[in-house]
Amino acid sequence: MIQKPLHQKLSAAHLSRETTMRGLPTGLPSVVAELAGAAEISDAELVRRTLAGQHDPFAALVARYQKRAFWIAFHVVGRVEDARDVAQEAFVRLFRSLAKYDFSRSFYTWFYRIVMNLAIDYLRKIRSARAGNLDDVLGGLPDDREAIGSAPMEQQEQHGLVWAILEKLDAKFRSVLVLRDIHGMSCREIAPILRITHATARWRLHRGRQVFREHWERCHGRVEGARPASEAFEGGTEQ
Amino acid sequence: MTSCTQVLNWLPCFVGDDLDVETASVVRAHLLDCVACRREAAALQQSTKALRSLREAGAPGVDDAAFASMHTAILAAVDRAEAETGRWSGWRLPRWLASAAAAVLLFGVGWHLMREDDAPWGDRRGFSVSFDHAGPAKAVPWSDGGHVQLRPLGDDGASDNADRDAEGTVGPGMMGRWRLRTLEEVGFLEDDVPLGVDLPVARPDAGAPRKVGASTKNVPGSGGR
Repeated sequence: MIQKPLHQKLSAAHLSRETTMRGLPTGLPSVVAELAGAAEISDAELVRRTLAGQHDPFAALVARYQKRAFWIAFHVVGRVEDARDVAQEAFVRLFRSLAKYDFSRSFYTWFYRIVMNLAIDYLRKIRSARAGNLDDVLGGLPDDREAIGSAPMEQQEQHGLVWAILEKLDAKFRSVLVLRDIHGMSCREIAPILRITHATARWRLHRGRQVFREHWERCHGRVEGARPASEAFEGGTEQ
Repeated sequence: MTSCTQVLNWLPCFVGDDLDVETASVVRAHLLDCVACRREAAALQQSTKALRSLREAGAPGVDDAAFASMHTAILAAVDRAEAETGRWSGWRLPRWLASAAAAVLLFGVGWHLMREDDAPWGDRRGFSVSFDHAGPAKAVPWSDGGHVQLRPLGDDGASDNADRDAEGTVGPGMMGRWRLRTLEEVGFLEDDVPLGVDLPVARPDAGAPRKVGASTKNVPGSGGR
């Protein structure tokens, strides 16, 4: 009997938390949907079948990971179109390098590394063109990214502010914050994805939160007017 | 009691639930007593909470239909990439064949150059010594000031200046030495055979290793000291 690998359990945990990112795409062919939804078929098995010349297992891999690939790319690059391009390119690269896959290692770490590398490269490439002054960004809030009718105006403003600050952050801090605070991965999972040590991942998270908080206080104070800092610490940690 | 500095250092991880249980309880106990640290923790918690609110936020135009069309687009892109790879792979040489072809090509070019250079390991038929090539001595990187300091192979340094002059005319480097030997064999380097080429005279002390402890009294220009 094939034991379910650890990363499968972790992935399932992520899916249960990420309500907006879970589930398979609709309208899949029944064979692909069955393969993608079959918990007993591991990612490595799908890779094996793809390497054997079958097409449906790769379609199932795409179905399993496309949402998470898209959302990770989206939170790193910040634009829907760009995130779509990054996710698509990631799957093309995945397909081209399937033969190099090390079956002793976790598939999702490997694939997320491809996604993150592409997204960070993309971010660095376009950053100089997109990076305006933070003051200019704040003047235009909320931007079209958060123009979702169901969200209250205050929440839209908050999201706009968060995006504006994320855009100001260095890519190395942004990538760790996105993976940890938005996608809920642990530092132990983040480290191999970014090819850094666990200690480096923790330091970047630590420093990234500090930098984010500095920007947040500055921008939030300007948006809402100078209010005294709250002492209402909630006493515990929130997840 | 834990210092504020230490607690402040732990706070970014504390608000994200990234500390171990023991450290987190230490921080929590400190926050109960310290207003400044509590204010700092509240600010960090607020910003982290705002960041985490993006978990539930969507994006405009991204719904199930978008993901369905994205799935189709991804597979189409992969198909295109596969077709492209397949088309080019038909023209790609196997690696061993490319390596063998490169080796044969290198060997052929090398062989051709060797023959042109009258190498000793080349075909010696048709080789003739000609003084047409004999021009002024050329400096080689290891020569001293334009004076060729070459010796015939096997020579222990006892050859005279005539030998050196003759050697200089036939070219620098290995070929020069080899040609000199060939000239000796065919008898061109007898004393009565004029070479007809003037070479700069090598400095007497150039390149000659001086013996340790040797006296300089008899050396011209040394001042007899």
